[in-house]
Amino acid sequence: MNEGTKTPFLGCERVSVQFFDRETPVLKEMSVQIEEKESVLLLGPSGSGKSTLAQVLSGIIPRSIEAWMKGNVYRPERVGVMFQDPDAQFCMLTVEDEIAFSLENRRVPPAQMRGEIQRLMREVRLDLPLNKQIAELSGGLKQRLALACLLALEPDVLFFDEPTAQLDPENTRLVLQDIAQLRGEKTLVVIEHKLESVMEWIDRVLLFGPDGSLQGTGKPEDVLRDHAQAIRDYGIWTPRMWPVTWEELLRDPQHELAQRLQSTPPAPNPVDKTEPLLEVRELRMSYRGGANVWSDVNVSVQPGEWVAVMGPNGAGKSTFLKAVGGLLPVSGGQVLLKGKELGKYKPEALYDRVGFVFQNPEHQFIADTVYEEVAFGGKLARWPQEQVERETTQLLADFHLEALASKNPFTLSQGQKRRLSVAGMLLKNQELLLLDEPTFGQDAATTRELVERIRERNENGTTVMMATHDVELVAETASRVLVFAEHGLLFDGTPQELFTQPDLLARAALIEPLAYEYRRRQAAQEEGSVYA
Amino acid sequence: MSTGAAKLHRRREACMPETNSFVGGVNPSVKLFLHLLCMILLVFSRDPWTTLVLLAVPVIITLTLAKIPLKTFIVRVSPFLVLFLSTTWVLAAYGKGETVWWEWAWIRITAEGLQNGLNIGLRMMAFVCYGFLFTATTDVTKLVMSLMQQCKVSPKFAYALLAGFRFLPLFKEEYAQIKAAHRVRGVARVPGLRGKIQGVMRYTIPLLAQGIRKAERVAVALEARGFDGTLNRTFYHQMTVGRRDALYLALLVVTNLAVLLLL
Amino acid sequence: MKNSYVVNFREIMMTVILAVLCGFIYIAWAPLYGVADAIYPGAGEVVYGTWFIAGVLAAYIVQKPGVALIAEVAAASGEFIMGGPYGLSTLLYGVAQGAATELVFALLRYRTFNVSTLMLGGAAAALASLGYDALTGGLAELTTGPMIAKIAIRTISGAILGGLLAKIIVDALAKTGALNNYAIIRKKMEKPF
Ligand SMILES: Nc1ncnc2c1ncn2[C@@H]1O[C@H](COP(=O)(O)OP(=O)(O)OP(=O)(O)O)[C@@H](O)[C@H]1O
Ligand SMILES: Nc1ncnc2c1ncn2[C@@H]1O[C@H](COP(=O)(O)OP(=O)(O)OP(=O)(O)O)[C@@H](O)[C@H]1O
Ligand SMILES: [Mg+2]
Ligand SMILES: [Mg+2]
Repeated sequence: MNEGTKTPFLGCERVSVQFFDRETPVLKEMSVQIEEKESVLLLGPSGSGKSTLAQVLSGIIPRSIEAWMKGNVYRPERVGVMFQDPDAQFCMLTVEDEIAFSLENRRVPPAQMRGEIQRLMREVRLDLPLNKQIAELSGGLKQRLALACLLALEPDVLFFDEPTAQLDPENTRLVLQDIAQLRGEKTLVVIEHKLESVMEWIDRVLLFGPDGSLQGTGKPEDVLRDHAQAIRDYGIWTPRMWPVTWEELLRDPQHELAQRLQSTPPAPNPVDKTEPLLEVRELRMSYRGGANVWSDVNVSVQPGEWVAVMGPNGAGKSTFLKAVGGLLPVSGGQVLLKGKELGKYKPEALYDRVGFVFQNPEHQFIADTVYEEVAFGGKLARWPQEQVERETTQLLADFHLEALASKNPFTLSQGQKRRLSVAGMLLKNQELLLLDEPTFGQDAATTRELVERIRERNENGTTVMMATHDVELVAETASRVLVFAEHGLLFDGTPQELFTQPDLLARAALIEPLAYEYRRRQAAQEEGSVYA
Repeated sequence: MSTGAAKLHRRREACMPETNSFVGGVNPSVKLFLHLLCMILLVFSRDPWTTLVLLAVPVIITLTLAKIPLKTFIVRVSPFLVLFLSTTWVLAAYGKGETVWWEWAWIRITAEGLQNGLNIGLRMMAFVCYGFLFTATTDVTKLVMSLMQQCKVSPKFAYALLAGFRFLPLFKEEYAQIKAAHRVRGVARVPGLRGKIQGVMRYTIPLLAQGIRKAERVAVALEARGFDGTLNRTFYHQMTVGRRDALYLALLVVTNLAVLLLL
Repeated sequence: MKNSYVVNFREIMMTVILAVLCGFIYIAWAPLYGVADAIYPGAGEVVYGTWFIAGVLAAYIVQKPGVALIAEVAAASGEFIMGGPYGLSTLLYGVAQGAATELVFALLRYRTFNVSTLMLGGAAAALASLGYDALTGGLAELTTGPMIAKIAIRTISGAILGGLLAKIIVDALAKTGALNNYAIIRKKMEKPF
């Protein structure tokens, strides 16, 4: 099989993989070679097979996830994998037991374990008591713990499948920094959408086409340059600034990117100031046996607004959306929808007016196929058959899910699941849409599509409230931002007000969107030139 | 969602075992086997008085050596009195016997039946008490660790069991989550009994399906972390068998045998 | 695939979690059984069959040796740890019932899993639990009438609630796609390459 060449350190040779309920293979005759201590980024549109390749290379397919597979895979003995979902990778109750589990598998003598555990926790800057309950950790801390568990394996290769998809900007920075430190020490295979912090330390990019074929490989800047057209066509993220630097950009206001950054975002909808759609009064939430998640929250939302809900991991964004959507009994205060308390609505009447997209897409799947999942609302409302069909098909096409119409929602890729859960909510025409991180794990094209569809609804009068960590998205779309932090509502105002206050951004673990940074740097430069 | 979480929390508190006592320090596997042994000994008792005295053994240990407060004991064990009454009643009313005390319709209470009924009812209570004494003083993680270390139970099964116990409270939350999803999606609730049954079916299948998916994910994650399912591993929590276990063994065997042989 | 008769970790995990979920349901059942049985001997036996469902359910899904036994033991442990009414005897019941169900499928060499074999599996578990009752729970001390009623009703309940219901549940589960990775679905699929 080797045809005289030496066995690669890590790689596969003419590997094909097909899942049991699919008609076509995900990977066709794929060959990949990765050198020892190389850092490789898998880049490609959502659903192209990035996760599948990582699972094949790490041996999860076919050992733990079964699929039809042929071809050869080479891999060193010890590999570690970090998954996207922070909750899917732990089996013990406390931090120390969890790390110990990895050490036990490696047969570390028990007497050395405690010291090892402490060393690993220091390495990922996890400053916690050893017996801390994992359930009490925020998403960011969980991912750092997951990293410590992986390092405990002393793996030769580390796989990261979108480790930061649900993290706030600050935690993203920390986790990516931890990973970057491993560069040159271990072989790294990374799937990540947030490219700007990854590009600097990646040695090589493998570019996937939408059909799961390898389109190109090489140094990051080479791939981005040589395949620029394909990347745009497939709708793959590129680094926010690439290939220009701030200096070039500020020097040349005619540059394409500079033009785009200068253009003001579309004016928000004129909002109806007369009667608030939603009123939140003195709201307080605590989960049983815990401190307040937040308290003293007062918000009033006018029809037609697009409200972004931001804040660090664990600040209570999801809790707020659930409370506003009537899915959690509040601990104090009131939520009024059109002047009537939520509790006074019949559930059916309430959810005719309010749509809700859960943070975990799987939480809302109730049908057995993708098609049924989207069509559900229409069928329930007894729409005429052909209307249900037409609108469902349209939504599936918009969200690149039409080929998967007959498949089971739970078998989709991460990004596909997210799109499906949003699509299911967009069929009906609610007055208020509550979306919990609607765009995480998406590529550029599908994000654009999602935003476009939500904007359409917003323009037709639907009020949108969306939790997100994506500052660019907020800068581009929202007419108003609520920031939760420090056990309360830290900020309520326009994106302009928020993004021009650096101290506020720091307190909320947020970063500046590119356009704001551009304007700030530009202003500073002008000021500088004035002084000069 | 929140009610699930609330219950979860209460459940955790309720399940927090008292492990700082003499019995709490006994090796879980040893304890398990000793308790099973005591249950076998109980089967040899043929009259209610002896069984009652044997029943006193776990009760006294619970209240003294295991440091369980009387109130907790009563709260946790009293629901099973129903079981005691029903078992006694079944044998008293339908059991074998000659000396009939009272007869009505298909019920025929006999002296021998009542005797048997009390005996077996008390035996059942003793089983309950040994079970309670065990769960109230044993940490599940330690139990599973000791099953692997002392009894050589396959880690494949042991860790699966551990995960199963961990997830139980989570499934309440999962159940609430499925209900919330149905509410949001507008699946109307049908009132009445029919709606209830429909509801149970509609929630049970997704719950089981979620359980299966969760199980698979954990299996994937554990295997991805080098878990190979063999006993070829070390243990962070070293479980040992020592003097305390010997003492507990002596205590249980001596008291039980003394009662059985002397009474 | 090779080793197709050896259970892997994923299958054990699935079996255990499914079983522990069943154990949860068992606890809810227990008082119902006690009260019904007190009214008429054998009345409680009508619902007894649900106690055997975990073994049949898992065996039908995975179709490999050992699964029924693992499932029943896991369900019993779950029930016991959660403070089920029968205390430690639950564990012994679990072993006896699981072994009996296992035996049925073993005799069929884990090849046939149709309605009747599943019902047989449930009934076998019922017989095993009756055997245990005869040793400790006072079955032998009953008069002939109630004794026969108890035996007959429990066996039938085992076949229906333990066997038939398991089939219905698994078939409903199969539609959700959650069983795609298990023998019950896999056996029907063709290999593309
Ligand atoms: N367990 C599974 N069963 C069936 N089909 C699957 C399964 N996992 C993935 N697929 C399908 O395989 C294809 C590739 O999925 P994969 O998860 O590798 O995509 P991806 O590139 O990681 O996408 P994303 O960026 O959205 O995570 C998708 O069409 C998906 O629906
Ligand atoms: N069901 C629950 N029971 C107990 N505590 C909970 C529960 N759900 C959330 N919490 C806690 O409440 C706090 C807020 O959680 P929430 O999920 O609302 O945060 P978030 O802002 O959405 O975070 P993220 O950005 O990670 O999604 C966290 O500290 C979390 O641990
Ligand atoms: Mg993926
Ligand atoms: Mg959230």
